[in-house]
Amino acid sequence: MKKTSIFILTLLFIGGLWSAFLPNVQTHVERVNAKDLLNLVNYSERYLSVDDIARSLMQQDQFLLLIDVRKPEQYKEFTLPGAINIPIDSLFLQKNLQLLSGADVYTIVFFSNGSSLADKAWLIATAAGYNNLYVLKGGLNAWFNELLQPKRPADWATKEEFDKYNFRLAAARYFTGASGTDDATSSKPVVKVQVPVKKKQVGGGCE
Amino acid sequence: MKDLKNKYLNPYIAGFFIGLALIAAYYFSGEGLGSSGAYKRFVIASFDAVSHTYALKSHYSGSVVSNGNPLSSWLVFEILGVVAGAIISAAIFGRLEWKIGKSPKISNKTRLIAAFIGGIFWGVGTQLGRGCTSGLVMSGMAVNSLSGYIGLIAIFGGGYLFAYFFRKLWI
Amino acid sequence: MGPLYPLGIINENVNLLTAFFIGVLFGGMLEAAGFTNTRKLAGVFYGYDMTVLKVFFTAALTAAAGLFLMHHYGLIDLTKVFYPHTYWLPTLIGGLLMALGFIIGGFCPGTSFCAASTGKIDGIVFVVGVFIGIYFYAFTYEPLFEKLRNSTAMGQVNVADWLGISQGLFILIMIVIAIASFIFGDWVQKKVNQNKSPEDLEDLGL
Repeated sequence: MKKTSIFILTLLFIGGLWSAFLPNVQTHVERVNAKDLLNLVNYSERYLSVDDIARSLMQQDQFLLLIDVRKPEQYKEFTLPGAINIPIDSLFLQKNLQLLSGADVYTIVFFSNGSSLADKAWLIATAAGYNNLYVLKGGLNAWFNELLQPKRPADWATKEEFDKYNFRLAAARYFTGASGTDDATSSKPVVKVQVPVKKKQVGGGCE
Repeated sequence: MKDLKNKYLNPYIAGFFIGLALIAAYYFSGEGLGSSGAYKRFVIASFDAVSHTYALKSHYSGSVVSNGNPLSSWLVFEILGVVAGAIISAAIFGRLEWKIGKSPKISNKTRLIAAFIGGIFWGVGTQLGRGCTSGLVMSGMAVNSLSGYIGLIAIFGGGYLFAYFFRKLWI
Repeated sequence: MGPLYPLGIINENVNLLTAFFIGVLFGGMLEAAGFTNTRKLAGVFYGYDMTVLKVFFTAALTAAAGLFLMHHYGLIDLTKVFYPHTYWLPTLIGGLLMALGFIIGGFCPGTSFCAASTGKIDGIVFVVGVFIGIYFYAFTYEPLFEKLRNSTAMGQVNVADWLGISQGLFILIMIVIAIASFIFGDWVQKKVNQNKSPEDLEDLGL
C-alpha cells in the first residue's frame, strides 16, 4: 500500500479509537429519560388551536390526520369531520403505529374532550420515538365553546381579535350548517386563506 | 493529457474528502448527501408542471408539493454541484468525451439495454427503500442509523448474490 | 455550533449555495475516483477492482467518526440533523432491487449523474432508466407500494443501541472491519487480475 493510503487509514483508525473511548451519547430522540420527559411535557409547540384545525378542515387539507383518542362510544357519539378513532390504550397496535409514522407526510393531531388525554397520547407516542405529532389545544370543549359559539370581542379590541371572531363565525356556519341570515347585511366575515401550519422540517437523505 | 486519462485519485483520499463533504452537509444544513432524492424532486416537479392538482392529490408527491416548489430543495442544488464537480474533475483528467463504458466482451447495444434496465430497478428500489447508496446507506452510516446498515447489507450483499447470474455482462 | 441551517444561523439562500459547493466536492471526488467508469463500479462484485469498497467505506466511516467526535465536543448537535426512520422490510426489498439494478446497470444514482454529465452514453441511458422507474413507481404508488413502504416501522433506530453497545465502540469496530476488508480486497484483486493482460486492465488505472 502507498504511504498516503496508510496515512489516511491510520487517521481513520485513530478517529475510531478515540470515539470508542468516549462516553456514549444519545444522538437521536428515540428513548427518553426522565429529564427529556420533563422537556417534552413543557414543549408547547405541540399545540394547534381550534382555529388552525378549523382552517385546515375548511380548506380540505388532505394531509391533516385527526386522531380521536377517546373511547369508541364517545367517538360514535360525536367527533370532528374526518377523524379516526384510536383509543389511547390501543395506541401501540401495529396498524396504529404505522399511521403515526406517517408524520413526515401528514400533520397528525391528537384530540380528546379536553387536552389532557390527548396530551398523554402525545407524550407516550413521542417518547416511543414518533415525532412531529400535534395536540388540539382545549380539545372538543374548546371546539364547542370557543369556535362554534364565539364571543363578540369588546369594541376596543384589536383588529386581530375581530378577525379571529369573524373567522370563528364563518367556521361555526361552516361546521354547523347554520344559514347565517341573521347578519347577512352586516360585514361578511372573510375566511382568510392561509397555508395551514407546516412544520419546519429537516428533509435529508433521499426520502 | 493522455497519460492522465486512466489515472485515478487514490481511493482513500477520495473517500476521505467525500467523508468531509458529508460532514459539511450535516454541519451546515443538517442534511445527508443524496442523489435519488433529487431524481424524485425532478419527477415531482414534472407532475407539478403538468397538473398541480394531480401533484397535490397523489400520495407520492402531495407532501412535497404542498411544501412549496419541489425544485427549491437542498438535494437539487447539491446535485447541480455534483454535475459541476464531475465536469471539472473530468476536464482536469481529460476524460470529457462521448463514450460508452463497458466490458470489451459485450456489444454497445447490450450495454445500453442493460444500463436502461438497471436504471429502472434503481428507480423503483430507491423510492421503496427510501434512498440510494448515498442517501440511504452512506448518510445513514454516518449517523449510525440501522436503516443505513440494512441498506448496506441489501445492496452490497444482494450485489454479490446476483453477481454470478450477470457475470457475462462484466467479465 | 451546528447544524447551522436548522438552528437558524444561516438563511435559506446561503444553505442552498452551500449545497452546491458541497455537491461540487462530492461530484469531483466521485469522478476523480473513477466512478464514471462503469467497469470500475462493477469490479467490486467480481473482485477485479475494489475501488468502490475503499472509497465508500472510507467516506462513510470518516463521516461517522468525525460527526461523533464533533457531537461530543459540542460542535454539532446530532439530535437536530436528518436521522432516517427505519422501515426494515421496504428497505430490504428496495435494497435488493437496487442490487439488481447495480449489477445489471453498473451505476448507482449519484455516479450516474457524474457519468451522464461527463459524456458517458451508458450513464445517460441509465439516468433515463431511473426516471422511467420512478415514474412507474409514482403512478402505481397507491395500489402497489404505499402499504409496503410504510410497513414495519421501527422509528429512528440507532444501530449501536440496537446491538446494545456504545456508538464509539461500534464506529471503531466498523473501522477495523473496513480496514481488514481493504487488505482482503487488495489480495483478492491481485489474485483475480494476475492472469490478465495489461490492455485488459488499462482503463481501470489500477
